[in-house]
Amino acid sequence: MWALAVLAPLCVLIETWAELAQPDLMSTIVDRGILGGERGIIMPTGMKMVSIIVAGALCGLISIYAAGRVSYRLGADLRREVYDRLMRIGFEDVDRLGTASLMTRLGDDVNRVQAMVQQSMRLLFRAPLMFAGSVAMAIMIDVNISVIIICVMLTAIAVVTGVLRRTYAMFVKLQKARDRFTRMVREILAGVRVVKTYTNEELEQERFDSVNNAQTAQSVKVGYAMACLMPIVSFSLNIGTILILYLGGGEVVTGNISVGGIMAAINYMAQIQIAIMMAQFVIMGITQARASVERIEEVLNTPTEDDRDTAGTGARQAHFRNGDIELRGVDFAYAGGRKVLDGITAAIPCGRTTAIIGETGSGKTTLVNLIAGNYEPTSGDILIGGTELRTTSRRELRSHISLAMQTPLLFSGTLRENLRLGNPSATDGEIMEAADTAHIADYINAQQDGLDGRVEQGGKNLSGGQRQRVCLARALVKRPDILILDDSLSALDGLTESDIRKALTSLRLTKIIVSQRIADVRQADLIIMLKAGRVAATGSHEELMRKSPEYRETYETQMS
Amino acid sequence: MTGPMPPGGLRAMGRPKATVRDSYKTIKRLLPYWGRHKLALLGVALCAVLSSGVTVATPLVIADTIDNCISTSGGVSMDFTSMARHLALLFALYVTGMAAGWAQEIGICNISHKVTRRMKSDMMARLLRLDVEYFDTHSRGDTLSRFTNDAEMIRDGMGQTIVQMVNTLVTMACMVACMVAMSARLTVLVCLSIPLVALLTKAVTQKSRRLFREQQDAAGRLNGIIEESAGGLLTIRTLGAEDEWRKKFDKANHEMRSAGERAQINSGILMPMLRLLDNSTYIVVAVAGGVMATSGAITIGVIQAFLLYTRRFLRPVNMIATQLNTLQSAVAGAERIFDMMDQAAKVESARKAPSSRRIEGRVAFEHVSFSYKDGQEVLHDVNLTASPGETVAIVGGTGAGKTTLMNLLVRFYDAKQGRVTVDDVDVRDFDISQLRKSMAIVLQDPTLFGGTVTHNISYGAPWRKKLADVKKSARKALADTFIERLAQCYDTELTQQGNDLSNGQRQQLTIARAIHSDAAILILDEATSNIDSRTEAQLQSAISNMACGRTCFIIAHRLSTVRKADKIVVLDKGRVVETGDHESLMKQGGKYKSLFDCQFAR
Repeated sequence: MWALAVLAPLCVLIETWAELAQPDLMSTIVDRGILGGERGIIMPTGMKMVSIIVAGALCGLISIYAAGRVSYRLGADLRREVYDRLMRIGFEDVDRLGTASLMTRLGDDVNRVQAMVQQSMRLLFRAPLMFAGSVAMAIMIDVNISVIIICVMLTAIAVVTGVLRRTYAMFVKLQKARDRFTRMVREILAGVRVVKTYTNEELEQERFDSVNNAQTAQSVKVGYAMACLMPIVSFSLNIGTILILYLGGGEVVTGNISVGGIMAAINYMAQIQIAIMMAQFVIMGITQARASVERIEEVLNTPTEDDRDTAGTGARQAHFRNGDIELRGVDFAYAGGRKVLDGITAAIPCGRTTAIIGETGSGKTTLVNLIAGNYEPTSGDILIGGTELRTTSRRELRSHISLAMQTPLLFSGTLRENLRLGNPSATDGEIMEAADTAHIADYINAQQDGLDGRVEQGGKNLSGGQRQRVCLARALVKRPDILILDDSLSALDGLTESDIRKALTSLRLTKIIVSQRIADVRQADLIIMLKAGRVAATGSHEELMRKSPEYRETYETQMS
Repeated sequence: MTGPMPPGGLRAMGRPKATVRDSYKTIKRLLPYWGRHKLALLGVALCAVLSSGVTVATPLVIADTIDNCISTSGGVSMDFTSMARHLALLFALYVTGMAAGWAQEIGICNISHKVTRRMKSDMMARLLRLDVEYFDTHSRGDTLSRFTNDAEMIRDGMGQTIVQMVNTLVTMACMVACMVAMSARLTVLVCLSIPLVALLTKAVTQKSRRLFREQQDAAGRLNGIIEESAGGLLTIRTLGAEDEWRKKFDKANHEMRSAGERAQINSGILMPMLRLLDNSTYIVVAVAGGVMATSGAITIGVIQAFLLYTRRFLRPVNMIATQLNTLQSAVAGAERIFDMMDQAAKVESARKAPSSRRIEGRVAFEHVSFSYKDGQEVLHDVNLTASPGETVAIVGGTGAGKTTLMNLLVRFYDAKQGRVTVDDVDVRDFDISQLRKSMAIVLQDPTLFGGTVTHNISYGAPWRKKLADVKKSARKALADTFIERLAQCYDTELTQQGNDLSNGQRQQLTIARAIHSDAAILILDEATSNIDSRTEAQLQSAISNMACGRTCFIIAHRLSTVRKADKIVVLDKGRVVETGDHESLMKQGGKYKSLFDCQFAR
């Protein structure tokens, strides 16, 4: 790859030299061949020109090939790095950056950088070479004329730089507008059923149109700014031509240069014009890409969870498997929000079933997300087996925990792929065993392709209850030490649910069950009742019936 | 409301080999978008003509300057007055050229942006009218890619092309005329290269079409994976499945890279080859011109002019060739977009005239059978009625077809056999908007939109946005307490992920939304499954009030919510097995009783 990266500019060098040599050879033909009467020199010079351009063309082909391969490889590598980062940064940062923005950065921003690299490799070296070459040639013809050329060039460059500097801020805004656009379309795609149900197609169309218009307006602004460049640059170069003609005319009179020389100078001017336009494209591309580069860098510079973890890993496994989970004064608030959890202190015994119940919004899901290591408490500690989670690698923590969430998410692929997601080396036997416990084996067997049966994005081709059972099976296939069920059996009917619970009791691991219903948690060894982010009561069912009036009340309500 | 997969799955990736005829068809479909800006395009064309004219004229003037003002044979004098006149003319030409060039750029930028903006709008309009089946079977990221990558390809690929083509044609025409006037023989030499250019271009562009399409398809697939993993990041990382997804991503990334490389390199070949032709012609002109000049057939100024012309003539020719190639990428993008827009919308497309009658809400399912995929029947011969004011509960095991039943009522899908009627009229005979306006649904997964709390609650009835009304609905859903604890209360901006609210609270908002829409038919699909029992019990009275006088369907597993229903329908594997109210079903001692006992006897 490096060979290609070096080869491309080299070839560009040769190609450029080939182009530069032409006007000079041309002037030879004119001055010596025509005016000088050396007819014999015309053909050989012509042949020389032919061989040079063939070499140039070959080099051109090589540089195209090289530029293409290098830039696409770079683009792919960059995209991969960003994706990798996405898999490793903390969720707080994911929330902060926003899913839509992350997608734009992975897509559009990387594409721009890639295009910029490709273009640069082909053109970036060409331009300065053509300048230098043309100027050199021009100096050899006549110093005065070359002064004109240099002045004109510098003016053009100054103009270009000035305009581009001012447009940088516009590019940043444009990318943000793209973020919003992406978010809008995603929202509609995800919420289409609700849109249709409430017949709000027109409303969503309006909302989309306003985002679309905003993005277009910003893009047009950028386009307008860019449109100024070419005409201004061309014009300044054209003035140069006029000056050459005028001054050159005078010089011919005084015998300093030949007519052929003037022609050569004008031709070089034309070539410089082309070179500057090329450079312009490249610099435009670079400026545009700069905004994208910064956005990409922002992601790449976000610390990963591993960076945050202060201690090493070491022998933690035993602790997870055999350790109690301790919560000490845990507080939590989502970025910029109110406190969702306030001073939670509790102990969840290893190997037992602990239940967490509470009203809607009392913080149950947040609490289990903290235990599972998805977020970090804003203050307080969580310990497993005496080890503070703060100092543990979050990824390692997660490898011991299975969290079946309230809203089950399945991915497009086969049933097997989905079920194996937490444990890629699981055998079909292990998968079906977990499927049995989760009571989804019948569904799998009823599929024409069995475990190869198709799952659409989001699991849309399964019913709600089927999705939940697949997710439960997935959680079990992972063979966790700690199993957390966040109200993940809510879409199942009573019979199926109780069968599954019975099957789960036989598993020897620490179980945490979040539920609304006391009927589900009655059998739990320990029940933690949350209220408005605080622990309202803890104990077994019997104990709570005795000591907690709130618990009793909830029980009465549910049983009546 | 979801269900087993409709036929088709994710679209097959194989495509028949695209022909040139297809390109024309696609371009023809794109023309109306550009056609709306006929006048502006004409203006741009005129500017292009003007700037081309300048490009043609300037070498002539320069040639004349050299011949008449400088190149005086023998004597070395310069006619300053003549020189001044020539240079003034040159200056005027250059200024005109600059102005025209600038106007042209601005014009085409404006027009091509407007075109893409409109296309995107039309795309969204079409998307919103597609059947739910499309959304259930197509990757979101791929669809998104059509709005972003593909649409932008059209703008970038077509806009400049049009301008350059006009430039080229005018320039070429004028130049040929001038060149012929100066020397017919040299002109012939220059024009020899054109057929060669045409052949080369045709060969490259045909391949380009296919390769660009492959590149765009690969980009769509990659985008699909990105979207899915970005949206499901919490699940993926909680499972520790990062490596699995990295593998998937790498594969798609690699495919995109190779497809992109192939497409770009193939297109890239064109330029150097054209330049070779370009340069060869230049040499031929130089040599031939030299020979002709020595024999006195033409002047040196003519050679100079011809050399300049050759450069400037062939460059536009080259540009047309490369632009034709770029056009292929625009066509590839357009193809993907039109593919999406051409999707059949069997259910949604039935637009009938709305009837003036108000919908009362009598619902009946008559011998309804349905399957998403052939051979896997989900509902079989279901008969069911509900009258206005009646609350009908639908219970049954998972996958028994409860949600599917409601899918048919709302017409996300249509029954394969039998019919569903509302007020004794087949739902298919209703204007679909009118039908849906008469219904309010609360789904299993609470879906909210970006916007304020007020926006979300009044979503079903946007004409009733008064805060007092919205608060009333929120209160009925017992959501007012937590809303008022939010930072900006009802003006708080919600996001689809919305960490500020718990799942249950989001569900309460969707219930408030249903209440606010004041519909004749209510459908609650597991509406309270995410809500704690105490709140649920309180909501019960709200829901009962809401259901008063309306037809209400409740799908629930928590039989406590179902007890008070006027009618309970028990589904098992797509068939109705029991019907009746709670007492009679308990007495029957069938499936319902066992479900009920199971829930409460533990």
